[in-house]
Amino acid sequence: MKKQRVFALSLAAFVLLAGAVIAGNGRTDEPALVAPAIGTAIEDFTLPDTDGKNQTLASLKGKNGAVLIFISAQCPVSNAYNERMEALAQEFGKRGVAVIGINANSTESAEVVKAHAAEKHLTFPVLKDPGNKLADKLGATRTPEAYLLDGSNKLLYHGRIDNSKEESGVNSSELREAIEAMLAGKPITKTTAMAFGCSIKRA
Amino acid sequence: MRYRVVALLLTLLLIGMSVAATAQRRGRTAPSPPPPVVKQVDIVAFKRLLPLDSGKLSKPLLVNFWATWCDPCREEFPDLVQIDKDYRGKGLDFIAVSLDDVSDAKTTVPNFLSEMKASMPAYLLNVSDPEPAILSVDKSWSGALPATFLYDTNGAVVFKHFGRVPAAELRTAIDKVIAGK
Repeated sequence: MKKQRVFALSLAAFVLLAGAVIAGNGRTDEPALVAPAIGTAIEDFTLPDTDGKNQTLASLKGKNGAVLIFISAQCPVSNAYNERMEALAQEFGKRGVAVIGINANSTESAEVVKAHAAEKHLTFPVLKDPGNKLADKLGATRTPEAYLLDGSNKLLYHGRIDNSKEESGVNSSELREAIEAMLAGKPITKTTAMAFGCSIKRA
Repeated sequence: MRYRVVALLLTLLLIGMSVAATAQRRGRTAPSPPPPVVKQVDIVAFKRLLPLDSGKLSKPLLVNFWATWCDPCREEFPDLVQIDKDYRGKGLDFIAVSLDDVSDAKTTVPNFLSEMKASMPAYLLNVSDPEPAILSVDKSWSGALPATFLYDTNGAVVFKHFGRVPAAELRTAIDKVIAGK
């Protein structure tokens, strides 16, 4: 009887300890993450689209490059940029630069992301990043957060789309300027820029 | 018998209505605290809030960056209000800096603080370009909200967290910094 009790207590202690360890490790919202340096070539990746079909960067990017934007269906900052992101996709898609949305939020399912894209009339592809592997690789921490890659996947710009969540307050559009400079073969004057945004909800 | 049941139900209804009316009157007459004042700061005033250049502080300082549009910010706020209550008397200063739109400075932001019964000094960053503010706080901060920083009296960051702050870890860090360890 005593032995059984000791065993039960030990088991309970073990379960408690294991739970604490798992919970501790599960807290991954602290991003000890570093974005690749400007100029680094980003490896091709494969992620599922909102229908669960695998897509690669190589198959989606334009002939002149791609803009990866970490977005969210629920974040008000990301949502404030829906029209601006769609406009960039329309405008630069024609000029060989594809906009690709990445949703790395573990709290937003593929179904939610698909419905959101349809509701907000986002015509560019949105990929799910299960386990936020791509977000980890790119050091992405917030939405929206953009990465401009040239035709050979070299990272040319990383950061905000522009300076203001409210479109009326925009007076510097770093992402657009970076794409224009890339297409014109000119050096990009500002290669990173910060803005406030929602934390990516990591798995 | 049926009349008795009806009478009993009516009595209960009247008692219920009377209790509800009393509670409502009490709610109306209870003194309500003044709504929190959210002070707008430009980049110069913002930098003065933090121990960026001057260094030394009279007390350890906890700074929380948040916004009403940010779910984890709202979720962690009750923990922060409790921490403020528990540690203010023990020598901790605490400020909350909102990154909401300026148009929310007199409405959504104070309303939320009021709902949370928050009484720490509250500020709202009023700048057209957020980047200088973000860069001035911490090089490892991308601007993702919420973000929480704890400074010791030398102005050094002794704890920082991006995303919803784990209250127990923050309390441990505060205990340490207050004890001067």
